[in-house]
Amino acid sequence: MPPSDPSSTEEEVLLAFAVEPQRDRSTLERYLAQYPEHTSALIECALELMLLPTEISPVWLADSAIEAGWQQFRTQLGTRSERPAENPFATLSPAAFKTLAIRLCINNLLLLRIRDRGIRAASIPGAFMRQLATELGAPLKAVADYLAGPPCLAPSSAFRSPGKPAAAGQVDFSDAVKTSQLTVDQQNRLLAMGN
Amino acid sequence: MVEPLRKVSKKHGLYRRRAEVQSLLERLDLVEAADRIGELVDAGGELRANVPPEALVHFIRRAWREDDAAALERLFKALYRRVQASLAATIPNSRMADAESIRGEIVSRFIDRFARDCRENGLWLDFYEAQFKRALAAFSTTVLRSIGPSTNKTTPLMGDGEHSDENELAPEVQKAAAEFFAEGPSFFDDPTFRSALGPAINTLPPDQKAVIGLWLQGIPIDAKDPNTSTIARLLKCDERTVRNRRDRAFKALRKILEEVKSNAAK
Repeated sequence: MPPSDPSSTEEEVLLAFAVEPQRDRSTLERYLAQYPEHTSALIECALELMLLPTEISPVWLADSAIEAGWQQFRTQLGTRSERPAENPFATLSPAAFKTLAIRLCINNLLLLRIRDRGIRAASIPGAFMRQLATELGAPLKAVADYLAGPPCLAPSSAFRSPGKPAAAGQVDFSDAVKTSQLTVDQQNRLLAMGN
Repeated sequence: MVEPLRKVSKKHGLYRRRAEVQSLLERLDLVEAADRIGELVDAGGELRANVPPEALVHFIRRAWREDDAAALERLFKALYRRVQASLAATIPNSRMADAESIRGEIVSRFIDRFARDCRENGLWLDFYEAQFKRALAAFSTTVLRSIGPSTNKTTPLMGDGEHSDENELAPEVQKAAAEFFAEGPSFFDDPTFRSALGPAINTLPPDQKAVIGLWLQGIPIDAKDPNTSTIARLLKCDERTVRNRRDRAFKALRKILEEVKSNAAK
C-alpha cells in the first residue's frame, strides 16, 4: 500500500512497504519505481524482512532497564493535565467537524446534537463513545465528562432567536438517532451499538 | 467494539489487521480490563506466547485513551521486553561491533515515537497493529541507516583494491560461487540454511548486500527488455559489476557458512 504522498519520508515508505500483504518481487519493483529516491533503503528493508527470524525468544532484562524504558515512555506521554480536558470539540474547524461526522459514519445534525450535549451521556453506547474519543484524539474520560455536562447552546443560537435563547432538553441516544435524518443503515448500525 | 485502523491508502483503502489479531481483539474486547491484562501478559511480565504483539499495541493505545494507568504500565513493559527480544534476534552482537548501543538507540527512538503517536492520536501505530514484526524491522532499518552500523564484525574477503568491481574475478571465486548457489534463490526455503545465511549476509559490504538482496527477490541481473527491472538498472551499474559483486558475496557467504557447518558438526 504505497503512501500516495510523493514527499513521503523514508520511514513512512519503508513502513508501508513492510506491511504490504503481498510480499513478492512485484511489490518491491513497484516501490522502487514509485520511490527511486529510497532505492537503497527499500533494498535493505526487503533484505531485513526476508531475514526476519520466525521465532523470537525472550531475553533477560534487568528490572532497572525496563523501569527506565517505562519512565521514558511516561515522560514522553506527558501528563493528562497538559492535554485539553474541556470541550473536545472546541478546536475543530468546520471542515474538521464535517470530517469527524464522516469518520463516525453519522451526519452533521447528530454530531451537532452530541456536541451541544443534547443527548443524555448515559444513553450513549460505550462503543460509540470510544470511537468518538478516538476520532477526537481526546481521552475517553475527558469526552465522557464533557458530554455528561448540561445541554448548551449552539454558538449561533443567540442570534437567531427572537427571545432569550435557552438550551433544549436532552433526549436519549436512540431517540436522537431516529430523529436526525440518518439513513436506515446508519440508524441500524448506531442502534445496534446499544444492544 | 474494536475500532478499525484509521490509516488509509488512496489505492487500497483502510489498512487492516490480520484476521487472527482482529479475532483476538474482538474476544478480549468483551473481557473485563483486569482479566484482559492477564490474558495478554504472563506473571513474569512477558507477552504470552500465543498473543501477537499487534494485540499489545492495540490495548496500550486503548489504555492511554481510557486513562487506565495500571494497564498502560503493565502492557507497555511487556511491549518493551518484546521489542528488546526482537532486536536481540535481528541485530545480535555478532552482527556488528556496536550492536548493543545501536539496539539501545532503536528502542529509545521507538519509545519516543510510540508516545508521540499516542499523545497526538496519530496513525503511525496502525502499521504496528497491522504487522508488528515487519513494521519494527522497517523502523529498525531506518534507524540503522541513520546511525550505523559503523563496522561489520567480519572483514570482507575482497576490498576495492586489486579486486575492484570492474576487474574479472579469479576463476576460483566464480567456481566457488557457482557451486554453492547453483540452485538459485530456492535454497532459501531451507530453514536451517536460512537461519545461518541471515547473519552471514549482514556481514557483507553494502554494495554486495544490495546485489544479494535483489537477487534473492528473484530480480535478474540483466535483461534485454528495457522495461524489465534488473539489478544492474536498479543499482545503476553495468552487468559485469553486478556479477562481480554477486560472486564475491557468494564466496564470502560460502566461507562463513562452511565455518558454521563445520562448527555444527563438532
